[in-house]
Amino acid sequence: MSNKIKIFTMKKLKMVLFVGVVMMFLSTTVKAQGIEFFHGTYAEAQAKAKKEGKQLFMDFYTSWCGPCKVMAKKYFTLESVGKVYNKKFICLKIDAEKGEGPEIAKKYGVKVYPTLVFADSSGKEVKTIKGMQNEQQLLELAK
Amino acid sequence: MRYSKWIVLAGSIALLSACATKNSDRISYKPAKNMKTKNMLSIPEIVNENIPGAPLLSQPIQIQGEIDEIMTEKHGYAYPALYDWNRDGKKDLLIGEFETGETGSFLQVHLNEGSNEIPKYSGKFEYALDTAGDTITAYYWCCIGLHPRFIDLTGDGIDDMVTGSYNPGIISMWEGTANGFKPVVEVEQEGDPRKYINGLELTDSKSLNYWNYTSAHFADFNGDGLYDLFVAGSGGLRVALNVGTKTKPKFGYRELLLDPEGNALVLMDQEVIDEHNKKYVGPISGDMKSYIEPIDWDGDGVLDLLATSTYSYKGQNPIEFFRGVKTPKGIRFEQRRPLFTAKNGSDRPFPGSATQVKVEDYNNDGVNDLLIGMSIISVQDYRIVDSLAWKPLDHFGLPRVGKDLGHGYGDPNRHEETCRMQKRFAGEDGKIPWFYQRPLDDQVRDIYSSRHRGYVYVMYGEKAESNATIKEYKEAKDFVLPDVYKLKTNQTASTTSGPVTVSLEATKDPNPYSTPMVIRAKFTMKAGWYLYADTKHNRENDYVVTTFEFEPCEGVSLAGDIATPEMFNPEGTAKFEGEELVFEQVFKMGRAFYGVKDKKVGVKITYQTCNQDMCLPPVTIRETIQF
Repeated sequence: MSNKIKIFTMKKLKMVLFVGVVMMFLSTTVKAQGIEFFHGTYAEAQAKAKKEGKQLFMDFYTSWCGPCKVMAKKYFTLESVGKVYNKKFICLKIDAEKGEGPEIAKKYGVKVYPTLVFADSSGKEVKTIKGMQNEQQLLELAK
Repeated sequence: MRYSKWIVLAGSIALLSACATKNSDRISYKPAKNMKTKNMLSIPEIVNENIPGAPLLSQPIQIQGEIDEIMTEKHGYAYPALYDWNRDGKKDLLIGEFETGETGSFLQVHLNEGSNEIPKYSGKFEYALDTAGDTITAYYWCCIGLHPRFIDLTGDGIDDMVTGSYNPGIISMWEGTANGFKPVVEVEQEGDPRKYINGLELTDSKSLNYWNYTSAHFADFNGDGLYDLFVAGSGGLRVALNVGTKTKPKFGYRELLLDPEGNALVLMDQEVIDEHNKKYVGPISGDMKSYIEPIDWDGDGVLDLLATSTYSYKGQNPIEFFRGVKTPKGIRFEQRRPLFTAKNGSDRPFPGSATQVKVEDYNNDGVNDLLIGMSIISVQDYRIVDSLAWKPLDHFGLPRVGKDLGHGYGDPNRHEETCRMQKRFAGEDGKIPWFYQRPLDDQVRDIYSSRHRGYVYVMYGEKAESNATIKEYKEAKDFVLPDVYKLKTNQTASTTSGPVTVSLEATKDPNPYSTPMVIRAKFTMKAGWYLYADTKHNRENDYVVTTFEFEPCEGVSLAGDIATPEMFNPEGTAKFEGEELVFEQVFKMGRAFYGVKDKKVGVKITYQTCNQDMCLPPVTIRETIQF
């Protein structure tokens, strides 16, 4: 192998490593941009909200709900939305047909998907919004 | 006398023996090549119907080739027309054929070796080619052939060649150019002939009967200078106005042609059959295999109609005349009269069946003549048998022209059919001597070799002695679909859930030519709401798709898949959108149905609706429909 080729290969390797690091950084950043949903039970979320002095934000969805998927993918991932919601709420995604979902959905009278419920840390409903909300609407609701 | 009785007895025994013959003993038959028709029939004197102004027709004369016989084989249709095919200034004889399949319905071109006044043909022909060098053909899978009509549909001063079709009911056009006819294209029509539903009323442009058996002809019906489509077939004798332009035709909704009383035009008296409690009724014109030629036959300035049918039932005439009359509601037609009858009093002035008629000036004398294509059964060695040729096919229960008469009866798997045919050939009462007074082998060969074959005749027109004057009616009634053609709606149920109302109804179509029962689910949707289609993609992505489950009683079974509205985004998340979404399931009813006391079908519908912002939970509807 000639020196020229060796130098070229090394340069290429460095470039690949650099791109990889940048990608990792970016992906971490992207992940951090949107709403970070709490991965625990409803009761655990309540406890966490109480502890951190936050309110509860619940997104009731189902696996067959198209607008739910669109909202989760398009708006919950926005940095502007995540910044506000992560600061003010313990955010919970609730599948209304699985696990404890049906019981909680019943408690809040959810019959349409998506339904967004804002509640205090004790679970008392503050406001309920039916249907998909865009960035501006979500930011408005968080006020 | 004693001798003939023995022959009858021997014949009967032979007939029975034939049906007991083992498959391996079956006699095969292949038509010989270059055969000529034997025992061609002479046609008894005809009498012209008294139609003032109409040409007086001569005795029919068969058009023969000087070397070879002029004839069509395949399924026996013969559609004659005149057109100067080789542009030598003389009109040539063209004969359209019918063959089942994507190719085979060709156009025979017999070049005129005489003059326009005295045409002569050798009988040798070539099949017509288009400008791409391909043989002109159209796809027909049943019952109708290439019936060429030459008109300038594209407004360029050169005639185009146009024909109709069986199913789907498309109109095919070969656009004429200075160098010949371009490859075939489809003429636009209102509605979609490829999308039809069994069991809808025949006037519904989504119904099978509306489109089925689209035989075509053209004339200007409403005086706007555009060629309109005159169409016959399963939906009756109708006209579809040209809603396109002089250069780009488009045919609109097919309206029934009416008499002044508002009745549809009829080619044959209707007969309601009540067999096993089935109230069946024939097509609205009486015979679905029909053709119309719009022409001012009596020269009074108002369009008349010449129409033909299968000419296979008692009471049908070879050519029917419908006189055009003026009314406040436009042109109407008086009901049929025979164009001519037999002087000897017979109700069959012509032998054979499936008359095709084309008005042409065959001898260039300025008076309309008739070219007639006639299908006649011949058997072994192309021999025509009087008793078969002169009786309507219905008398023997034989397959109509366009069906495979005799063809395939050598197939061992069709032994029973062969036996049935033997009985038919002998006549129900066994009184057809030509058949059974011969050796058994001949009888069987007759069956195997029997074919409909098409022959062409000319009836010369002589100028009428009297002129016709326009006939006017002061009143004309509107068309009302007769009760026998109305669908019977048995039950409706309606369920509303949020933005969706589902109505269920079951209808029975009395027409024997369509499947008799349909269950229809109509979703009335509020604006913006949609349903998910039942696709693999949607199921894999957890969407709740729209499904139908049926539990029919004994004797009822599903006929094909459910017909759905058009899907949006069929490759992705496929949806049904619109204010009214109709799903239709057709059912077949077997004999057992008539013995069932509790005639019903259970229906289970599951759907889930969304709009662009939200979704509602799935809904399940359960209903039982009684008949």
